Amino acid sequence: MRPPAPKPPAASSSSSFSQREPRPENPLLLLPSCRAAKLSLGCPLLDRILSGGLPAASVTEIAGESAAGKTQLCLQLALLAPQSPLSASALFLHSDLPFPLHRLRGLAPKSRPDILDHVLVAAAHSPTDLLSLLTRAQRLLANPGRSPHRLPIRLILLDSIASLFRADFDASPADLKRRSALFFQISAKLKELAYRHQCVVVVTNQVVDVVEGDAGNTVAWSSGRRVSPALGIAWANCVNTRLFLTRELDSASGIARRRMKVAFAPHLPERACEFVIRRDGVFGVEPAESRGCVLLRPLCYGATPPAAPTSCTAGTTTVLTSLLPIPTAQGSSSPLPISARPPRQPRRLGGSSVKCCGPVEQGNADTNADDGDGGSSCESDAGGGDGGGHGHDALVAALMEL
Amino acid sequence: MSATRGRSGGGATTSGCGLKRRNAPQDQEDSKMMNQDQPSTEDWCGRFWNGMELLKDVTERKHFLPTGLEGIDTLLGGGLRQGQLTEITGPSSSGKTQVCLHCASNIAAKQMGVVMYLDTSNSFSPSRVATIIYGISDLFGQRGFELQPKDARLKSVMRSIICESVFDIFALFEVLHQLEVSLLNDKVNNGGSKVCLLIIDSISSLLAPIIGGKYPQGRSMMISVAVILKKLADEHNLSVLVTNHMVSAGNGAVKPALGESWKAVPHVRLMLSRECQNNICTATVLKHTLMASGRTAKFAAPS
Amino acid sequence: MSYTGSAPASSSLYWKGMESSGDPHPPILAGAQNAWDMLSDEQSQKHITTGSGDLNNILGGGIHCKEVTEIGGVPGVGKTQLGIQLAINVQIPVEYGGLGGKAVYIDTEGSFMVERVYQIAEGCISDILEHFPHSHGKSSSGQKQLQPEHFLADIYYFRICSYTEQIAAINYLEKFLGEHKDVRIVIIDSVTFHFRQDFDDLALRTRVLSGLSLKLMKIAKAFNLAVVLLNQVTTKFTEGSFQLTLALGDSWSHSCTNRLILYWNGNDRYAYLDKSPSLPVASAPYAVTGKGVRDAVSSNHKRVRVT
Repeated sequence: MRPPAPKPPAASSSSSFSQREPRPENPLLLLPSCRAAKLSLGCPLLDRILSGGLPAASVTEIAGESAAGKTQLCLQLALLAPQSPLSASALFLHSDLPFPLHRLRGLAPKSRPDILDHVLVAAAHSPTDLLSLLTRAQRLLANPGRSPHRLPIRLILLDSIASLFRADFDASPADLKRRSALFFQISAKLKELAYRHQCVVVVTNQVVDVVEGDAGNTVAWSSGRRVSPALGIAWANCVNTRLFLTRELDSASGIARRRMKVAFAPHLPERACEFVIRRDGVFGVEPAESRGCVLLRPLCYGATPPAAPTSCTAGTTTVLTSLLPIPTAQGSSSPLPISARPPRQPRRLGGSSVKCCGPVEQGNADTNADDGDGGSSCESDAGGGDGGGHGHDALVAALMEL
Repeated sequence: MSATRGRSGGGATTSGCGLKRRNAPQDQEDSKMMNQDQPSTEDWCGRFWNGMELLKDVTERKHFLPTGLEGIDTLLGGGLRQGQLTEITGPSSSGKTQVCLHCASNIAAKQMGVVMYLDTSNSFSPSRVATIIYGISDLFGQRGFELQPKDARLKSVMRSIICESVFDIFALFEVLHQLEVSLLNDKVNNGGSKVCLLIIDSISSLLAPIIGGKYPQGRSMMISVAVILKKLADEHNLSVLVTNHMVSAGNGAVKPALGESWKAVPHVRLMLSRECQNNICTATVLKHTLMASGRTAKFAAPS
Repeated sequence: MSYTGSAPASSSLYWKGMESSGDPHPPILAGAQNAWDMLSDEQSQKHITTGSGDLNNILGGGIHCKEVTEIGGVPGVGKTQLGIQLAINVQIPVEYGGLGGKAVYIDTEGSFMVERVYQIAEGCISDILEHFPHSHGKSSSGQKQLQPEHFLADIYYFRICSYTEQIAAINYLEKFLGEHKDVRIVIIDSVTFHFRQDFDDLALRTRVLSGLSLKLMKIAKAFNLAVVLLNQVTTKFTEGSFQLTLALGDSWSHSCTNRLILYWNGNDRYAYLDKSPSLPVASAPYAVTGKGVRDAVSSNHKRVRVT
């Protein structure tokens, strides 16, 4: 995948300082690989927002309140990675227990049960735990040779960073300092892995309420609250790209409108797109032309990036505040009947974040779309004989290997 | 204040002394003698000074060099004392460099002598100096000056500010050594030292990479710098101005950098601070050999 | 070194002497320059444009060579964009009013997105052609230079993954720049990242950083190039409240010549010149567009809002 540009000596022993002189790379030679090595979200609309997908060799954060679709998106990415041009295994590090295996199985295409072979899972319980896990992952990535049928790991998912830092940290300056030192260590490790092995790295984050201040691009309205991603400015310094998942409940129709917004990214303009969560994944929706679009902020990037020549003007380049329902969304999202939902599981840890979550408002249709993942897990339980078992073995194998 | 009095007076004293002297005779403070490498016997017994002579020396030769900033000049009783080491400390962008540039411009514009400017942070701005010189109205009162066109005047003034970039401690040692040699020769040849002000902006950025840690060499180099500077100041009747930055002292407060052992070095220590969003600087005397410390003065940061 | 024949006793003669002869002073220091010569040097210097006229104004024409400029701001405000913009703008050919130099980009954070660099290069070229419409008919050699690929290839890109590598790269720069004299800007994005990890010994960190900053100062002066350091923002606990400051602490704050702080004012981006030896404190709006950093169109905007 990498161009024949001079690259740092060997992907092995990466953190140790190499004795050779640092050699510059030529950005021109990096250009083709930079454009090619993007991980598609599996939906042309969402890909257009990201001008092709999630970039390799950088860290992307997906922030959003509970049930905004973060985990869903991660699971989807994990399954897409082996089928995408990236052709890679995914390493899924989760801090919220248990691992949503059912949802993963439910999302996996029935036709290809072997996909689950390429999802490696490990649990991290604390920041230090995560660091040691990443060190082991580094070895794994550096010496991929042991199982020839497995694709190389090119996708690392961490769900979620915020829940690792829930405990053990006070608001005292000393603790904050310790905390941000850990952020930077984790991020440096992730970025190093991302760069040395051209990995796509995705980290999810929760949100906290903000009362005042903090103008700019990290604040958004979601479920009627003014929120910004958790962990403060220290962590914001640690990611390259920040995607914000928000949702607004329409009081009239009770339908939640979800939006994915690029809060900041080195290569993307600030723009947003609506999406829905369906049983088979997360998909962007085209807002209808007729609806009034309100321009929230001066839109900075005028041009559409070259990767997406056909641009949907209304959807991708404007920020919508209109709360009207989208017929297309409703039509295509095929929400599960409420009866099909399993009894509500003990709340996912991701949902009950530090100080952010009031009770999640639940309109009717909203709950359906929201817990679509829960429903699909139920279904996959029923019909998941072959594929599921296969996947499970793979997971166990992966755990042992790691 | 006359520009030439200091120099010609100094010249008179020195020319009366033996030409072969390694050390200038006005080493009146014997503490300075401690540091000379193998002084010959004559040097050691050169002269003893009595109190009256010292007093005469002080009144005749140890002038105040006005900085051109009124607040600071009154605060320091006239400006920077020749023969002394003055330190300006303050947080980042509090106006330290501006005070240095002002001093240099003012001394040069009033033809008091040559200014040696050692710059460690590429912040010596010639255009800024030119602006300051234009702003000094005294320029027109100088004899012989009003005849010259404005540009030529500026040129001759600016030529008496000599700037050198110094980026590590060894380069500083070398520059100071060179300066010392040329000052000695100058004295011998011309009977007058022209350099009257030596500015180092900032001394702390040169010293910060080497002090601290478990090796004592850094500290000893810092002390050697201090000794050399004081010796230069004293022997050649220079005023030395250095800037020092401030570091966190814990719980949000700041203190001058370089620690306790440097604290004893400067004769005068002045702290600057600037309020946010305006140009009013406050100068506080932290230490002064003659005056009580703690007094403050406000002045408008030159803009 | 000869010290004879200069500086007569009388001061008026002395000053006249300075007027007439070319070099009136014996060199008090070999290699040192006097302020007058430095002034004429400085006036002949070209500055690197930021792409925004307002920003250039508060910076006195753009980013200055021979100086170290620190640019800080919250994530997403446009530090990296400005960094990339400068790496492109330094390459504007001399005949189009640029420096025609090359750039070194030291990336510690992985935010150097080549596709974005390509876009900014395209934007820069289209602006050049807009300002110099006559150049369309020029010879093919001039046109060949104005290719985004060309701009990309003239950036030396270093990706740094740890602070040891960062120290090594900065130490190596001196040698590298000696071999590549046409480099006119060095950008470090960001200088902070690896130094905020696990330096338990903060005194050691201070020493290392002040050593680095002296090296960068030296490079800027010796090779007549601009050094741009991007810095992050952190919260600092002072007097019972948390405030935003640039990272790396008080002692680092002294290690740059100029400091520019980027911030949000409502939904507009502003830059604030916080420190400069020669320029007054000032602020100006700017915008990040598809073409790169440009002037904010705030006046237009207000008009729209009113109507």
